[in-house]
Amino acid sequence: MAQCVQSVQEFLQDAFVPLVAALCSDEAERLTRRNGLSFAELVKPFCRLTSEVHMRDPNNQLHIIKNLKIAVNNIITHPPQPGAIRKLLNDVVSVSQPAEGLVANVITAGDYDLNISATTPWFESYRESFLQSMPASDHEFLNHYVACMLVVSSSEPEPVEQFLKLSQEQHRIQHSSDYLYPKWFIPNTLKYYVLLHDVSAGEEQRADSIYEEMKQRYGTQGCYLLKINSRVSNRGVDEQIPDPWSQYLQKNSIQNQESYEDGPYTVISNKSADHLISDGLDIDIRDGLSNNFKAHPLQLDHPSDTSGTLDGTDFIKTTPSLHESKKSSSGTPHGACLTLTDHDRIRQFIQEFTFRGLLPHIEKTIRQLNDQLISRKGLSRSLFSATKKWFGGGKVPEKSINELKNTSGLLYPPEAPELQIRKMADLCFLVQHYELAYSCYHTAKKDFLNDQAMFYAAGALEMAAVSAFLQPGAPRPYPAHYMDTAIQTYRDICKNMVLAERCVLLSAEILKSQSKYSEAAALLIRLTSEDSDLRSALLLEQAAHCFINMKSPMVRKFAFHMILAGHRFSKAGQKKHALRCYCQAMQVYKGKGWSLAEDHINFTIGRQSFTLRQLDNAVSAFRHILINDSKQPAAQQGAFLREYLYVYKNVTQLSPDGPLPQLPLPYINSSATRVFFGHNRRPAEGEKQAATHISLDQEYDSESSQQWKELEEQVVAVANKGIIPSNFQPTQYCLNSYSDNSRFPLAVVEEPITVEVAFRNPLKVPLLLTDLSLLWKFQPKDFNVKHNEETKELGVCGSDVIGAEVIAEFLINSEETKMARLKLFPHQTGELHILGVVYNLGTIQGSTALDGLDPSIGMQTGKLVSNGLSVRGRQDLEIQGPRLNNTKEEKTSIKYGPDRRLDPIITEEMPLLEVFFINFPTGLLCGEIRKAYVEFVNVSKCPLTALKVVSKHPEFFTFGGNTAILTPLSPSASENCSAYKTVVTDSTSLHTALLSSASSGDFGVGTGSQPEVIHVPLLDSVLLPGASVQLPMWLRGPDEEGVHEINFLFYYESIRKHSKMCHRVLRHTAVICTSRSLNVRATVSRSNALEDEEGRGDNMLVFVDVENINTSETGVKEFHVVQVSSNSKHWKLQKSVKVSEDKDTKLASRERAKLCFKAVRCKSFDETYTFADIVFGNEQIISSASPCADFFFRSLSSQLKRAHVQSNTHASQAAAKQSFEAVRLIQKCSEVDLNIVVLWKAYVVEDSKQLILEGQHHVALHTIGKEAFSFPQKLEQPEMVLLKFFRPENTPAPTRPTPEQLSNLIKTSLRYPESFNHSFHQKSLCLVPVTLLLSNCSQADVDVIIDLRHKTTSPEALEVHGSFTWLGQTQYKLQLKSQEVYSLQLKACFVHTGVYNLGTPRVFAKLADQVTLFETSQQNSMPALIIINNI
Amino acid sequence: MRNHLAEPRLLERAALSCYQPPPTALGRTLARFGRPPPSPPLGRGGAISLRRNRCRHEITGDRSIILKTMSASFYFVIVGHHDNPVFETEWLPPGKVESKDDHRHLNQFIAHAALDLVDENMWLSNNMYLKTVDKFNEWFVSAFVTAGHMRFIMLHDVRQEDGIKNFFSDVYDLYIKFAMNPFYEPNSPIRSNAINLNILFPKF
Repeated sequence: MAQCVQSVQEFLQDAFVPLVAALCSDEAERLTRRNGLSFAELVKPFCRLTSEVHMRDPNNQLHIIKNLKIAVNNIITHPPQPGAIRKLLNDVVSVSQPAEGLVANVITAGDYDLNISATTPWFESYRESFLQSMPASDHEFLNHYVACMLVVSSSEPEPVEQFLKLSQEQHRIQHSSDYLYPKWFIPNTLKYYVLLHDVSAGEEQRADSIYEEMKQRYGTQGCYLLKINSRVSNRGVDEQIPDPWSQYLQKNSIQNQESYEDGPYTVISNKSADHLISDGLDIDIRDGLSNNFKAHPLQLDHPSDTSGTLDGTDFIKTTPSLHESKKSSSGTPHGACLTLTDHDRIRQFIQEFTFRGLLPHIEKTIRQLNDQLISRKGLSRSLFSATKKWFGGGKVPEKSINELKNTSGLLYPPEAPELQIRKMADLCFLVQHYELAYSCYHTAKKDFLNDQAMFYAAGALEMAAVSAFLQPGAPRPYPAHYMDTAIQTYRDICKNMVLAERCVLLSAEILKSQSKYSEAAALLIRLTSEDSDLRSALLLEQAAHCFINMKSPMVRKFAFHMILAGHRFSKAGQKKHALRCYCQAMQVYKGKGWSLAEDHINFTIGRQSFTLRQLDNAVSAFRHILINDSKQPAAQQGAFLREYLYVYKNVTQLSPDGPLPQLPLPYINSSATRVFFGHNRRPAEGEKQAATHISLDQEYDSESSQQWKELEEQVVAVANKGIIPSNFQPTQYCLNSYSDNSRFPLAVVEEPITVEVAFRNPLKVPLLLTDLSLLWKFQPKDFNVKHNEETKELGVCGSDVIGAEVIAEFLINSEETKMARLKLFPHQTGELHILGVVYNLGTIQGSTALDGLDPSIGMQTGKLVSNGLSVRGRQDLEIQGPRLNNTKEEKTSIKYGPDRRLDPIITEEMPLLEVFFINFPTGLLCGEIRKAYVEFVNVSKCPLTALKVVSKHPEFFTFGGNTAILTPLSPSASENCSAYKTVVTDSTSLHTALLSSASSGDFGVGTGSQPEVIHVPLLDSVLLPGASVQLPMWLRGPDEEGVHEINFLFYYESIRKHSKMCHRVLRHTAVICTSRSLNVRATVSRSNALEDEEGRGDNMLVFVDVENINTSETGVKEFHVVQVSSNSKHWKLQKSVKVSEDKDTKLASRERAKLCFKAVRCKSFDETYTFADIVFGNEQIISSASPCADFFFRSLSSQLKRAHVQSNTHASQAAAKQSFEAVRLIQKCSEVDLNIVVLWKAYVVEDSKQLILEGQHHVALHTIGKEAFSFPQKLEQPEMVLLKFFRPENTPAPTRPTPEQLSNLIKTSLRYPESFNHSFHQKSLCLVPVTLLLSNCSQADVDVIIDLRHKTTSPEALEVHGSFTWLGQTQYKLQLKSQEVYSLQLKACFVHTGVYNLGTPRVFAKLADQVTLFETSQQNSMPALIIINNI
Repeated sequence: MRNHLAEPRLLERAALSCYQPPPTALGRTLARFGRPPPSPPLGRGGAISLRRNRCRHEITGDRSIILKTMSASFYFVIVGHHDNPVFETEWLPPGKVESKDDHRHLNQFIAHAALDLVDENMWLSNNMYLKTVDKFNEWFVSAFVTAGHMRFIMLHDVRQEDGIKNFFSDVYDLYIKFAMNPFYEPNSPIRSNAINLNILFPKF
């Protein structure tokens, strides 16, 4: 139990006080009314005696009475109606609310810190009023009138007569059978005659004289002259007179704050109060809600119809009176005509009455009763109980046959001796003689129990317990079991809840004073029942306080009982108390995870707050329900949501001009917000295929975005002459959580900004957002004007500045995550800040009813039926930037960078390019050449220039070289034409090369360091607004089979330069699927034959292997190699060495053809490439023209780049070594830079239509003898290798060239007649001239040593070779200049016929400038056989 | 012993060393845990133990109890150290599934309120199983406190000493295995299906 103002003794004393009736004449009543008080009210503040009183008990012992209080009541002849009492108590409780500024106690129990008000004044007021309003009962006399005051005014014409009249009336009331009420203590009640004199109006002498008369008549102790109203009302208005009545009367007064605040709704019956909130809702909602309440779990008692209706009707009946009295009584102060002297007089009067009238009367009565008792005691002791029953014959006869339990109906006649003892006990109790009272009660209890008069016994037990407790010095412990029995009897047997409640209140207070909190709590809880919600609520609350006040506080029990109490309060219509209880309990449940319980509490708090018009609290409580992860079923969530919306709507209606409320639903995943700048791309139009660019539909891919960024860097570098500007930022069209959002993004005026917001609906009911749009702030700025100080702050309105798209309806299904795309159209330059979204939050009509239907049906009809419950609110988009982790400070603390993706800067107009591809294939053969068209459209109002395209795969496409005559044929015209430029050739030129030349610069490659960047050949290099240009574009299928994603980045600039935005880009990703076609392998080897037409020593053989590796599933029938071209700076194909006689080379599936060509060195002009075409058909494809040459150069450059990367890695190590130079030179002589282009045609059957596809393959030959492939060989990745950790050893660069390399320095060949006829008969020695041709293959001077001596290693060898000998000089030292061919005349001398190998000369070579000599023998691979014949 | 140790997993171990296991199913549980913990994943381990338990109950099980509890409803919650529910589940009799839906928070209220009495009673008993500690209207509240001070609370509307005791010890089995999971942070809500108590239910 909570702390009380009164001590337990005071409380118990005040619970039972001597009652005095007051009977006033009309005139006297009128006198007191002048003060706004009745007589009883007038004396009320003075009813407690301040001085001690002495009294003698029956044994003549002096007994001191302290602090006695009496109660003076007007006589009411009807017992109070239960309904009236109920209402009174209700009012008392509802008036008493915790003070606003009251600092609650903080109780710490375990983990819990609770703010609880320790006092419960409403409970004390309730208790006081309850005890005062107890109807008098027959089984006890405590609240029977002991005395009666008869009050007459002195102003009456015949006051004495009046006294007589009143006296008679009192007698009539007491003794006539017409009045069963009020009850009187003893038959001859003390009458006290009071003459009321109005000092301000009446004559004092007359009053005195009447008083004298009275004194003679009733004796000085039986009458009193009370002078009041001595103040003249108009005087001394400002005089401050204390108003002692206020504290007594206020409580009982019906006027209260509660009713003031609540308006007319206060007195709605508790049942309807529960549904007050739902009045504005739909029927089904109300059903849903009432369902919750009908079977409410906390409803310990089902609303009993009797009490409920009784309460209700009673309330309604009293409503008008309540308001009238409120009006009438407000503002009239009490005791307006009384001075302080008058107060003293009244106090004096009461004291006089008590001392002289009341107490002597009581003393006398006690004596009388005691005498009776003693006489009866003797009698009763001598008799058995059976005879006693007979003796007290007045008792109800059927008692004997009654069962024990059924004795509540037993009634003693008023003068029964058992009652006399009880009467005495009560009197003793009233005058605080508790010892005597206890013994009397004890005796009475025994008597009653003997008689099985349980009702009476219970009363006696109750009072015995109380008086035992109150005995000074406490000689015996408090008999709690007495109380328990009494309560049980009252409640179970007598069904008298009021008395039981009184018992509980008394006992609980006593137990509390003894710190027996758990017993008190048990007692209090036991009395909670269904008949009175208010009582149950108060008792449960007290029980809760008991739990928290225990030695080890039971916090959770406290919380639970607070909840129960709150529930009961709400049922009793005590909303404020209910709210308070729930709020206090909430402290315990908060944040622990008892989600259902928390939801229930929040819901109730929300509801009660709403009915109390504490809308903010209501909103926050409902918000909690919706925000927390709810475990509620869908229907419940729907109800919560509707309730929340309803409350919110009320809030917004109250303040329509206020800022938009922040809505809790749906959740916004703000970091998933994406911002897209630009138009939606037009879909493909017929054959036209728009550039894919970038859209919100694309997933973010860090790899590809990095690629795009690199591409843009490349193209910007080219555009700015090789330097990337320092303020360069890659263009970001789509901002998301992965993009770099640290800078303000740029948007272009008149181009839409799309914001994609990720909504998530956590509930199990669908949410309907209507009129969804973005909320923004805009500062117009003109970026061209430098000093622009003024920034107009425009509000969120103004569609002329920014147009905002509004989504009329946006449905989010239960537990769904859905994106909403919202657009803004900026019409001015400036700074835009997107703040959030604004929408109406609503639900769908009858979500439960919709279950059967497909929600999409509702969508299709276009208009979802919102049930009208929607509130307009906003949610802010606040995006937290990435966590900073650069400096030490940032690492140690948690700091976040800015995220500016929602703050775009609107810049001036920029050109806007759209690119369409026409006839763009999706599937190609590897190496296939296809012609497509590309259309550039400038859709903006600005001219566009510097159009470039960049791609990682420049070898994939070409716009044609500069030399090519641009004949922009329409796409349809070129339908069946070859992509190549062809010339008809005559057959004579077959197998011999047709020469042409071109430089790589003509094809836009080679010179620049960035071969990826390609300038788009626009006319005048400007695209005017609205203009469109179609350009041919050749594509070549990538060499590797599979699916290729090829990224194009189109770069363009405005004619006018802006400060903010320099360029724009457009992305396109082409997806090409390639299938295998041909595999070309080529080797080049040095021809040993030196004789050539031009007399030059250098010629080579080129072997080309062409294999059809097409798997023929695509319908490719066969491939024809139509032409083989070479292009090189130094070499050219000369002619085809025909092996077979086929006209052209057909290759069916899996066939392989071997072609052989002769290549010769040609004159080199710097950067000019010589193209040599060897045509197998009758049409020459001019390989030096577009597109053949384009692709050749592109593939060349990409190869170069690849090689460059490789050589970079190798070269670094050995660059310092001097000998390396030599090695390189030696290596170089085996290098060759011949590129072979194999042009082919493929016959394809597709849709029963034959198509001819064309294509080309490139093979780059670099090294003699090394096989080269048309497509990069894939390195076989070892499946799984052990990972080894070692320090990389610096492998020293080869300081010495390998013998193989050296062997290639000098090419040697012997020229001699194959057979030589000699007549050995004529001349025994045969001399054959042999020419040794030495050809320096390297670019440097080479020293050559030729040694003709035979290797004389073994006699066998001599046997074989030794049969001929070289004549003349056996060793030659020569120096050969680069590329020099030297012929050395030798003579061989034979002595026999036979076949000889002439290849014995050993050739040593070294580089001329090399100091260190490394000589090695030149290999002579082929035996040079000569046949010597004898003629 | 209980209140000085905060770390529950240590505590479970500590319990093993100084707790004298009574000759019950719980004792067996503890005895089994004296050995190194079984390596198989929790789910399977749980299933094994369940199968064992179910067998036991089929042998010794009381048919009448099974019949009697057909219409009973139960609510079970594991309460953590900060009075937070760690795991919740409830069983309703077949017919009452829908009607009780609105009342679910009452279970929480009752179970939560009973914690005071559980905390009080656990010092008065040597057993982990505290029998019925509280009663509210038709609900009985039975409790079981583990050595690690996790509180198992069971709300039931029929008196059912043995069944609940066995249930508690089985859950304790499962819980310990679950708590051994190094990725499980003690006191945090158990969302795993590893403790699928619905399998345990039919033995009531």
